[in-house]
Amino acid sequence: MRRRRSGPGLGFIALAGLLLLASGCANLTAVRDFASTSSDAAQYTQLVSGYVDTPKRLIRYEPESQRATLERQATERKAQEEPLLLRQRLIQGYMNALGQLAADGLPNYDSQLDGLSKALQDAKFADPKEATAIASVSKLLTTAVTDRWRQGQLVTLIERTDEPFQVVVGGLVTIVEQGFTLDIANEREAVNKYYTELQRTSRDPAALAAIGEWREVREGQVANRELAIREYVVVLKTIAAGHHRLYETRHDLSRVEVQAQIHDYTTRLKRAVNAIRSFY
Amino acid sequence: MPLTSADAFKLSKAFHDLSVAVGEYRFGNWNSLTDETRKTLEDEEWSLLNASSDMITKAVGLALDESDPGAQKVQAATAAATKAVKTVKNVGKVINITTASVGLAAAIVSKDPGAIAKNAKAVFDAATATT
Repeated sequence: MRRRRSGPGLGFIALAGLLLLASGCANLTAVRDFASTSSDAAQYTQLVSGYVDTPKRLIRYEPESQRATLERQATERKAQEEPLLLRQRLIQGYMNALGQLAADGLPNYDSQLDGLSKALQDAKFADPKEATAIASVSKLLTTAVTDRWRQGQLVTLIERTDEPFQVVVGGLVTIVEQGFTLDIANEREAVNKYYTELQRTSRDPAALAAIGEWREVREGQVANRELAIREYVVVLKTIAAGHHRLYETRHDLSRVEVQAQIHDYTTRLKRAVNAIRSFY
Repeated sequence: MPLTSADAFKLSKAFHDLSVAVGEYRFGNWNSLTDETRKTLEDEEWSLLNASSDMITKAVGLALDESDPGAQKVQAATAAATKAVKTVKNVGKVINITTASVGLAAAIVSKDPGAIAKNAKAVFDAATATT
């Protein structure tokens, strides 16, 4: 006999909802899970390190005449590292606070986030619109902590954050989707130039076999990084879309259908995170 | 020429494509090229690839504003250069195009508007002179 399925955990969500309603506190399990999964998923710092260190990795492929250029590039990229990491940490910190509010806890605030807006503006790194959005999310996060917001203010937080949050995540999506992808394409081409040259000029069969194997290894590393970048774009877009859904349904967050929709975003995030983990 | 993030990403792609096209030319005509010519082309390929990386670094630190007409001219010049390198057979012309393109990339990195305009024209002239 075929069992009728009622969706992932819908029965449990409904039952827990009834119990929590009786205690005067809404059951926002799906919101909490989405927020905590987003917080974990946003923090892939290896992708930023990969971008920052590209010029250093290219030194092994390029002729000595390019050394000075690559060293200059390495310095310039290093200066971009902190603002990139801070963006990730802002998303992570905000989603963490959102999850805590959904669980009716007191949100924590990473003290290093205090300097985020100033650091970005000082570095002249961000787009002015983006810098304003970053400052706005950061300020709301501070307010939530200092005013000891609880679950009752969750709707206010989502309502006031969604617009700047979309700008912050959108800015990072552009950097990762376009910048990191172009960067990895350059590395792939560097590998191609270097090994094709070696294969053209080598006559020794043993050396050719070794070169072929190394080429495969390097191409595999580049391909893995490329796939991880692609999945991280999925992560960021899912966080943005999921948050916007929270905004659209902010007055009905404890409804079973809404929780099921939010659960779908969480599932998508987990799938992308698992894929990223498999490439590193 | 004020460069926007979107412009810089497009220029990065343009310099990447040109470096790939010159590499394909060098490997595709390997046996008919002298060692010296191969070396010249190879150096220019790396310079163009690094120019592409420079454009990415710039793009990550720039605003996403409206594109400047000057940047569009630079993109048109590099696109013409890539197309020409894929079709011409004369190595001297390929070297002229790539040398002009490397000069353009250096002008963009040094943010010299006069040199950018002059080098963009040089790239365009070298590219269209071959078609």
